[in-house]
Amino acid sequence: MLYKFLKTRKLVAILLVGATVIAISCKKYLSPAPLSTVDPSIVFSNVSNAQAAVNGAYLSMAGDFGYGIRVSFYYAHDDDIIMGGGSGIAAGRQEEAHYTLTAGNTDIGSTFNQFYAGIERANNCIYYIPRMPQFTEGSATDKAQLQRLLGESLTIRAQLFFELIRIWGDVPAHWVPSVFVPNLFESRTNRDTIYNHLLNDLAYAKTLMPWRTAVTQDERFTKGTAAALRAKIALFAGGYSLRQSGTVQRVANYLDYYKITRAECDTLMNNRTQHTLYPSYKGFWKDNVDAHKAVDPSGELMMQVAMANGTNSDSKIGAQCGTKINGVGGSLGNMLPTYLYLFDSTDVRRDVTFVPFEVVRDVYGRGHASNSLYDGKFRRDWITNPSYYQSSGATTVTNPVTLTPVSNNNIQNFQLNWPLIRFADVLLMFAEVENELNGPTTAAYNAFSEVSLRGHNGVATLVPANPGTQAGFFQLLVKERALEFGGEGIRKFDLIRWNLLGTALTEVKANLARMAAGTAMVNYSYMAPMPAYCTTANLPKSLYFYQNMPVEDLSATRSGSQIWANSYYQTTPAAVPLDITLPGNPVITTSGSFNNKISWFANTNITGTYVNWIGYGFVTGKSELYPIPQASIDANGNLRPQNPGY
Amino acid sequence: MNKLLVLLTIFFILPFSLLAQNKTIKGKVTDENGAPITGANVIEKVTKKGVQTDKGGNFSISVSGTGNVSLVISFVGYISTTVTVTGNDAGSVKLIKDAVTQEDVVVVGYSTVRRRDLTASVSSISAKDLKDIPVNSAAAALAGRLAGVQVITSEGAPGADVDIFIRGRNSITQSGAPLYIVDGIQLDNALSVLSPQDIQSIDVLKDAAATAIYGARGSNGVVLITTKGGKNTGGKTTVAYNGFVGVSTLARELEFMDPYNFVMYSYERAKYTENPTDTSVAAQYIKRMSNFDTIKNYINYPRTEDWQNRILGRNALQSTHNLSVNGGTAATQYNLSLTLNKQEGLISNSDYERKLASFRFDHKASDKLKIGFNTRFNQQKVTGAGTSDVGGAGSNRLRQYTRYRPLILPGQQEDTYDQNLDVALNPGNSLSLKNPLQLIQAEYRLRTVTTYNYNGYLNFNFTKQLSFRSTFGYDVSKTESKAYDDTLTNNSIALGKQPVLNLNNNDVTTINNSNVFTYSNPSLFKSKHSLDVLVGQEIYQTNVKANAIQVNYFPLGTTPNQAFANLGLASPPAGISQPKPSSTEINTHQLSFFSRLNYSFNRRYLLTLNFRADGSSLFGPDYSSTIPLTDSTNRKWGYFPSASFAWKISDEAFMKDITFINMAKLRLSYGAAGNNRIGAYGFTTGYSPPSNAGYGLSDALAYTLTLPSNLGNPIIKWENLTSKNIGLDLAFFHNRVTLTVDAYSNTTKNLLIQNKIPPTSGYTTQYQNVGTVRNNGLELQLGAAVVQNREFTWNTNFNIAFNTNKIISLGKQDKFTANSGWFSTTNNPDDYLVKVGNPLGEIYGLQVDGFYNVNDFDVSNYVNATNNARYPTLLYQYKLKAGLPNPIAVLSDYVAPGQIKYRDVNGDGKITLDSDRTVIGHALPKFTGGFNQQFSYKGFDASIFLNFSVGNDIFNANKLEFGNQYGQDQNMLSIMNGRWRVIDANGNLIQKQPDATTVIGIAPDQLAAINSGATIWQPYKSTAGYAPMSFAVEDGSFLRINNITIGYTLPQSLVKRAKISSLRIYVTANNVATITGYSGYDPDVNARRASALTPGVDYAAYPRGRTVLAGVNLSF
Repeated sequence: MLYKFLKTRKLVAILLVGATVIAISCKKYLSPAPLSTVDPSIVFSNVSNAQAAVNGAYLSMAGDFGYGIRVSFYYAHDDDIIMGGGSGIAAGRQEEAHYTLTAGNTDIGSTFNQFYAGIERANNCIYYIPRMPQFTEGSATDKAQLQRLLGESLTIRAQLFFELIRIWGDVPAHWVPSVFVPNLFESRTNRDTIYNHLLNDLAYAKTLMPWRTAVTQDERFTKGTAAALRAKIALFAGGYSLRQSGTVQRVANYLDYYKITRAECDTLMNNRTQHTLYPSYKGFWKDNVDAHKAVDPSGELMMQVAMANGTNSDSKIGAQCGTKINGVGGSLGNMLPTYLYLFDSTDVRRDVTFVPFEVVRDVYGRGHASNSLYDGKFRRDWITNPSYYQSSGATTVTNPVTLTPVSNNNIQNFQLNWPLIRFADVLLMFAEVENELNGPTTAAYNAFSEVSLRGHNGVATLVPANPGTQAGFFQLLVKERALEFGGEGIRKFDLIRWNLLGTALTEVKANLARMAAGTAMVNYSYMAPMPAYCTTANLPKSLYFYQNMPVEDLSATRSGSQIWANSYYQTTPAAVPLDITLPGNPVITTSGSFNNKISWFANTNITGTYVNWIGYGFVTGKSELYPIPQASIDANGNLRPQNPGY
Repeated sequence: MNKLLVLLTIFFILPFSLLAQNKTIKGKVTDENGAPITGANVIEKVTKKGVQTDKGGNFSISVSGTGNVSLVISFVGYISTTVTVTGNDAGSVKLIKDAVTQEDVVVVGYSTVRRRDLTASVSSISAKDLKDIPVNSAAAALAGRLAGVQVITSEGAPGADVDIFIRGRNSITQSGAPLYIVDGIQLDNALSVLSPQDIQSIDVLKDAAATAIYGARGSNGVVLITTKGGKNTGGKTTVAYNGFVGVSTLARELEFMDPYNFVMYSYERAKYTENPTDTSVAAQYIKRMSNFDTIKNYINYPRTEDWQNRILGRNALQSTHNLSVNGGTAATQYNLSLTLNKQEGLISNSDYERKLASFRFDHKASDKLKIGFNTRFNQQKVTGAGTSDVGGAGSNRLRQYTRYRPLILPGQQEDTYDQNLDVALNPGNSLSLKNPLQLIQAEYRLRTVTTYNYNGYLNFNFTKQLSFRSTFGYDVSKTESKAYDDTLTNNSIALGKQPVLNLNNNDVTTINNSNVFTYSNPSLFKSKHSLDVLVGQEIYQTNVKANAIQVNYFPLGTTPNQAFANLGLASPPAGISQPKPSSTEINTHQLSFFSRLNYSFNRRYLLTLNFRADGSSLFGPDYSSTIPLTDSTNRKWGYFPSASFAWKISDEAFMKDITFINMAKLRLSYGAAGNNRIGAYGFTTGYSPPSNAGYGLSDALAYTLTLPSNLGNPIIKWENLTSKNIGLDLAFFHNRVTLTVDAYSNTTKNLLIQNKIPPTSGYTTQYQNVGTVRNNGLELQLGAAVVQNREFTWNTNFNIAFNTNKIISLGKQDKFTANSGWFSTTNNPDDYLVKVGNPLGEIYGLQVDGFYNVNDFDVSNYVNATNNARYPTLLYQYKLKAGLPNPIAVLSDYVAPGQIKYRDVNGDGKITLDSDRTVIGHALPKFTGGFNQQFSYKGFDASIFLNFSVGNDIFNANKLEFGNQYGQDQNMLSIMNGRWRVIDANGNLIQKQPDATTVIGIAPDQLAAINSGATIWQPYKSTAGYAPMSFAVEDGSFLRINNITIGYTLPQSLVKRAKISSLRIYVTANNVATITGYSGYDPDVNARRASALTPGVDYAAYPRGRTVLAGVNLSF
């Protein structure tokens, strides 16, 4: 039957007809609808998708190669307070910190690419959002949301360009999606041109975004963010930087930029319902940043990068820096012992910024010698909600903490956000530019003292007096910014914009050598002096610590740990102190597995750890900038010439 | 679908017609010498009913009617003859040997042609050639056999990928793989899906004249595979068994340091750097640095461990069993084949298993209708992590299996887990080492590829001249990759040292349907003109679905099997969520129309014209998009014409007197073909949700969309290949010697390149039609039947192919660089150059010029109070002499005696990657080929096969990594024993870099004296040591004795009693010996296959074994 059917040639006819139908519908056949990729026309058709695209731009700041660890920690040192990366120059992070970087370094290219990918994501949002019908004709809510999204995109782009310029100097710039750029083989744009563009963008972005209290409070940027970032960018635009010519210089009209900074800070400082200092310096870190709070009640966190558990969404903050608990933890922020002596003995910020111990047997402190001090703002034992505290299982504790199983001991990601601008920065920026523009006025001093006052737990008599000269006030600020922002990735770039990095490294190295040798440290030429009792040779050569002292006691008045049995500031007592944590108060053990005595002043290990390595390859006129990544130059020869000295 | 139903119905309903039988004719078929011919076909001319002769050459056939019967008697390799039989006895029929193997039928696109009528360049290999090569991979069987067909195995692992390049590389970044057609159906993974035992013939179409009918995707050549079908055995069933077992061993080893030299270097490193981590490593071996004198105890250390041998040195067993059942009548033939392969890898946990079942059925329903059905099932399981990975060094394992410290510390066992190594000694980039025995167990990998092929065809002859053929294929290939990383692995360490599971599925479904009308008239209007016309249409569509799940935080102690069976066992700690699963689905469609015209006059002048139009969904515009298109030009269609002409000179009258030439044919062709093998949606830039990521608002992953790394290019279109070919086929001395010579020039224009674009665009790549590449070449294939008599035959076959590749244009660019990514998938300096005027595969790096010697430095007294006190013996400062180039921009160390020296290529007085990298090697060979000898003497047969490749360089990245010590406590190649030393014979420091710009040392004459025997530089301690450099480039030319086989076929008289029709036993050695100057495991390597821009990289490739096998071919 079938055979006959076939023989009638109907099949042939059917096939021919079929072929014709296929030919007619071949346009459709050859355009199967995409399933796993979303066209921009769909993304920018409604607010929630547009928000997702803006989130994509935000995302480029997170992760290992963004502020997750590289930009926030690896690239932000060495300076006069912290040495990055550890001793040695073999590892990539050590090259990045000790200025021995080559263009072929495997990290910096990833950061460079990731930030430009973020700029492209922001450019798409900035291009398409205003073209969405809802932007002009939508409901009031839609309009407000889209305006905010546009403002956020402009702010993200500004932050990314700002960071690129700080790290690499002049970089290529375009302001529209790449698909509209006729020649992608772009040359580098002068940084002043980019800065001016960013300042204009942020002035516009401010008008688009709401204040933080007007919307749900999370890590999204608000009006205050744009203002603070604009102040900061203007400050850097008016500061020193290494130019392509190989010289470090600043623009002639730098005071014009400082005026912008002053105006922005002034506006913010007059609107304290939105942003002001959180009352407690320790509480700011321990109860907000380390407690995984999206924002603090005072709005001191003006700009931050949000992190959460996911590929390239997270941070290694607190895991690769901070202290060890039960033997686990990173120590990339090596805090210089000389920095500890910049603080006066009453400054509560010292014991927040420093962790001179590790945590053993779950809660007890084990003192560290002066050549292995850690940064403390993101310390593991403060992280809560959730906590990543690993029990050693070795002891019962008297000071209960929330313990998670010991199996988590190698977790690398703690979802800690990275603060980009705090309100304290606004105050100190104001003080700085006010001093440059108008001298050490009361307004300048007041802004400074507000920060210092909190640093001294509100005791006004402990705040340093106004030196009364422009130069003296500047030096005071150079010091104050070191005290306030230690470990926040700010210092190195401050020193560069003041053209003091080379000086600072030389002088701090000399002081480290003095500490190692046990001779008195000398005050720095470029900042206000250390407390007088720090510049003697009578600092303790050894410190004793108690065997069973919990690192975190619960009394509210104490700012830091009380593990030490003798003072940082007085010579080591002749007799070994008694251990008040052991029954019968015997003398502190100084040998065996409980050797509770560590080397402090005149510690020759400082030479091996710090003096040999800090600023190892620093050359002024070169090291202020990183080289353009080799992969980028390979892909685009128009990026030549390479940065000076490389 | 309907068509399939029709086929199936026909298949089951149609009964096998039986005809009345009236008489039986008996006879015998012999050769010229009277020896019986087994398996000759005897077919009655009218009814087409047929039988085969038995062992004695005898046949018996039942025919209808009683009158004269014409029987057609044929046998491969003999001239067919027709005998007319009146009675019942056909007597003894002699078949005359036809040495003209050229008479074979060759499969060309959508039809077959006799080789003597071929106008195009086609190379073929048949089952007869394949039988000498007992291997499991059909691709491996092809290596070196065919001129112009280069087979490159990526590495030595069982089931490893194989790349085939026909006439060089026509594309730059797109797949250079040829198109595979199996029984008329496009099948991308053909060579891994088929068992060599199931293959009847492989025909490789090389020039555009032949490939243009495939238009799309034909530009890299076409491999046509015909599988074994049933035979007309007169209803008798033939059962055959082929099997072999064998063992592989590591063919070659790398030389690593022994414990003494290893400990010595650890000491030297620590002494020099004074870095606490280095010191702690050295202290593992000698307690404290002052114990230098104890290092000598390691000279005859009893607890040496040769990890390479321990891990890679297994005697790996393999076995293959193939059973086939076939038979048939003139109307119906079938073939069932079952294959089981089991192969152990050289590494103890890497195994390979394949089960294959294939059934082919052909049925002639009537004179006009022929249908067939072929179904294939293939399941392949590969276990073990192997040595290589597409990722960077951190995820490759050869380093793990060879670089672990070559000794066992006191108190430790061979498999002791040393925690220091993954916590304290992690040098970054996940490059810490683990105990290899532990690691092997910690990494569970199982890749299962299951393939189902359903193919069918229907052939209908309307008239003698006009026929129609419809072919339909539905293929499903499912790959499931299971990975489970236990606590020891880097993946697990990053996640709280709890086991991590990854489950990836990749399902590819393809539908292929072609409908072809053929008109064939060998004698137009009874003239000498003959005409064949073919017109057809084809669709090809693929659906690729991929799903990936990662599940973290399995309880400690969970076994892989438990984990995969209970994904819910995993429970992340508070505040941590599991990664999001991810999936993609991509559809691509292709629609084509094609036609071919063959014209010949007097079968002497042959002309073929082809034309094909292909439409592909991979090109724009996207009619499904909702945005109005700014440029709606349709770029989906490509048009590919070709023409070829052949002249059979030997048929001309003037050739009649030249008797030693039996055949001479000249072929000329010119044609176009296309290539569209790019990723989908290259013409748009679409958003997608990032994999397991999102912006972390309030500590949760917010809904996030991101852009891809590839920037869409709306104007991309088909890549276009133009091919010119001139060929000559000759046969001499009674067809005993045959020679085929082809010269060609292939030019590919509008190359589809996933071009690197400046990352400042926010993207790293974009598909662009840029540039032109040309391959010129010459191929020669020579065959000779040297000796041919009843007892002894000797056949030899030689092929050689020369190919030169040249980039003619790269659009607006003059050159760009590419990265093999062996060290880091993102950012080591680029190591390959793509430049106009040069060939592809140019290795790009710094030229090494030995190392700096004391004489290269100005030496002065060193005065520095602090350092003089610290280094009281190092009182001389070494400053590089003026005028000598300083490599500080490449290396992080300051220039010092004993440091590697690069050549300052551009003469600017300093060494930079940017200006001093230059071409340091050429990865493509100048020529390749093979040489095969086959002998037979009575029942014995033997063959020896050699293949060679000459003029290609290899980028030996193993040597770069293993010759440096970026991370502490990692063993190095023993060539580094000859390094420049920075300590003297008593372990005292003799040279030091106390700060970034100072190098100090002992007196220059002493320093020189201690290092007078140095043959190589100080190893690097930073990643700068991995910059591409000429040290790692080696000549990869080789001559390999690929295969030696000796077989013996038992005499008929003996086996007959066991009812066996034939029995052959053989032994084979594969990869017998390789003559090469290459220092790595094997010169036939291509470890970084993801991009065609970076051929010839040897990094972490699985070493190749030497195999000895014994087997049997048995048929009943």
